[in-house]
Amino acid sequence: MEDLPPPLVVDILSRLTDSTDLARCRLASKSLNSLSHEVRSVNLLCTLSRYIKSRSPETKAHVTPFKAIFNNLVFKARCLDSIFIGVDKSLRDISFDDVDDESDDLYLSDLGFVKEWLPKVCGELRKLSISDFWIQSCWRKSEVLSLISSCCNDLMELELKNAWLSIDGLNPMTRLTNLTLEFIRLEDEDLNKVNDCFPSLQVLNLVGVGGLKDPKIHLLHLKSCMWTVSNAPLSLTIIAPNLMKLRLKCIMPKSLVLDTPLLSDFHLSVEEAYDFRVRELCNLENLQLESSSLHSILGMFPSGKSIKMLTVDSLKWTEALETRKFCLEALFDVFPNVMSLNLGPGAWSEAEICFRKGCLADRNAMKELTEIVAHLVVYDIEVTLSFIYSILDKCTNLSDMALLLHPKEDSRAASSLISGCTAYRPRVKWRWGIWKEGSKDTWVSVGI
Amino acid sequence: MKSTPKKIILRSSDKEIFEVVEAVAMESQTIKNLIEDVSSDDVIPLDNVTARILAKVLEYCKKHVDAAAANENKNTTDDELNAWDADFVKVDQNTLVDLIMAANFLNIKSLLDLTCKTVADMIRGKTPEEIRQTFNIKNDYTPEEEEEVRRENQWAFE
Repeated sequence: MEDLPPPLVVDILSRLTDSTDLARCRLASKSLNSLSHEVRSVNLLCTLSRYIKSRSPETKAHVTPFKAIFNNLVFKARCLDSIFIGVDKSLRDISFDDVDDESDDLYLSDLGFVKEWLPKVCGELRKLSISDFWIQSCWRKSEVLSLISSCCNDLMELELKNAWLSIDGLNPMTRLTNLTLEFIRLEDEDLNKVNDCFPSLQVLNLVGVGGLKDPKIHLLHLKSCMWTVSNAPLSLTIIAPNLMKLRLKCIMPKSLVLDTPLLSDFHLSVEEAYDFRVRELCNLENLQLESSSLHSILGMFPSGKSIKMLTVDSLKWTEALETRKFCLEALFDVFPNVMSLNLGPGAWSEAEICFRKGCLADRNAMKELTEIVAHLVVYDIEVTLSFIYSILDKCTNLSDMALLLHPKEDSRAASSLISGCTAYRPRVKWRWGIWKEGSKDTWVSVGI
Repeated sequence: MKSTPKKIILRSSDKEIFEVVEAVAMESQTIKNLIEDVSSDDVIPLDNVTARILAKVLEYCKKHVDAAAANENKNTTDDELNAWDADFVKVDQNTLVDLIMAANFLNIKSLLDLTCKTVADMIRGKTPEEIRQTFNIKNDYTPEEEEEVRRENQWAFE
């Protein structure tokens, strides 16, 4: 370490994602101590253990107040371009019943607190992230956006979590390119203020943002957007002429309007969409679709001739399975040029039921399809096998088949599946694996 | 018209010659700039990098160039490449330091990121004494100085 020139040592120290580690380095040697002050970021997280110690009568006298630690770090740093202050995710699980005081020692989006340190660093600050403590912040409306927008002229990335934000006094922040609001109560019903004050946004993440009525995202430079809406019938609109990547998760929007002609990567999760209006998506190449009403969503989708990679799954598929109407023909009709298809367990189950009711219709085969990844749910191994055979017959260019079984399936079903498939089409490259709710798919080599 | 890719000749500080295809050599911004300045048949001298380290660096560059070409038409994850990278940096500290210096001199951002992050990961979670032991750092504080620095940073030990 001592052979390394100081700038490289500072580079390494800058990659420590926690200022606690940086502080410990200071004690290792004088040179590490002095170089540590060259690091241009402060990252301070209040862990669950610190929180508990600060409340427990035996230990609380020995715990430095969190805000004091932070203030000290900011004042000691020579120059800061990135600040992260927050409470650990585990503190989100603390229930209101366990807290009976009105303390604000962890109320991080408090204007009074932010005023103590932000003016010192705002000139050079490029990234700011505040992850507040919901218990102390949810009932206090914060004017912090007004302060941030008036003094952080060169801020490029802003992330605010677990707070109630007022938009009074919000000034335009023309250099901001990335904005993330997570679990925020925002007083901007239609997102008008957001659109006006952050016109240069390229990345916008709205996750669990409440207080919206008929929100409309209208941003000319937006390239990537993630929007998770947890409550029910809002009308959602996105007008973004340069948007390339969209992840949209909602439940039952009253209407869903998309004007995003350049979209190429779209992940949509929607239980039920009554009024889904999207203009042509001529550039869409990668589509992931999850819905409890796959059949009707597909009906509303504009024809997707450009889509090459497609992932489809059904939400809540164990409910009323027999009434579902999703079938593979509909998929092939709307998306004729897919090269790689991934079917989740719900989509597979629905498609298999449809197959059982009547063979895969004799429509034009999916000539472009070369790869299928399917998460199987086996009710009757013979039916599953004949469904797979008919897909193989239909899609004559299939070269890669990856099938995943649930650990619940018995090994005899698994071996008949493997032997049946490999015998039917030995030239196809077969891969086998295991899928489980909530876990990543795992692959196994043959011989389950 | 040549059908074989263009080869670049590099010479380490200890005078060993390495021949690599242009794409691999161009992973280094430094070499890329040098290629544009010299005529194509000249040997490019790299006086700051020994043969032992240069061999490793070129191994890294080749792996990454090959991986990028293979991934062009697919949407594959980088899990395999990340695993390879993790193995690549399982070396003794001196080699790791040499790789950092070489990546810095040759201006190979991804290698610099990988090696610096590896060292940062070695620091994470350690006490000051453990940090000193891991990196063979001499404690140059007097007891009084150490006490004062400790008091200033007491919160990190709570």
